[in-house]
Amino acid sequence: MRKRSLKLVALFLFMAALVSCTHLTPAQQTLWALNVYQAQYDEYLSMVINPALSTDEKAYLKQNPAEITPNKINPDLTDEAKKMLRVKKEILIELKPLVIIAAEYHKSGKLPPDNLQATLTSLINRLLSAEED
Amino acid sequence: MSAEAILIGEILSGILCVFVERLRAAGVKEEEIEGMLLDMIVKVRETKPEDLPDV
Repeated sequence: MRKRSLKLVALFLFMAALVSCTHLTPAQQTLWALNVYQAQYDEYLSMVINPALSTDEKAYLKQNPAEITPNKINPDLTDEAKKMLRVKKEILIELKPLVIIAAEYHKSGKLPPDNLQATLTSLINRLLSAEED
Repeated sequence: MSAEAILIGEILSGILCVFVERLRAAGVKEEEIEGMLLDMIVKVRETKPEDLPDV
């Protein structure tokens, strides 16, 4: 219950920041969402891939995540980090089609519907705060 | 409001502000953002979150 209230407050502060701190245009907002998604995706891979692998192998695995077999996973991940990564993966799967839809709206010169923007913001909030859980 | 909530809110808004400041500092104009958007869409499309390994 306390965690839920905390997240609601954080979301409120985040929405307030969107409005007051930055004056983002719709295009900037979409670019930001795409950037956050990409950065979190890259970070997931950086955390999961065994740092002892060669630079070339790490670069290959980042391009082909399906080939990351259990022996190529970072053996030093803590239980807490694994829990956070599981949450992140779920959110990234949910977020990808939405950021692309929002970007496609901008490409076609239309504004994304408010509910899409709100869902995007909420998912990004969950993604970024997953590390705080 | 708890200190934790304030902290999380500040972290999130901080990330957003840093992003906007970087755009401004780099002198990125609104019309250039469209090009950046197209590049990012291609990059994001190539990602495969469902293929990320389970841990």
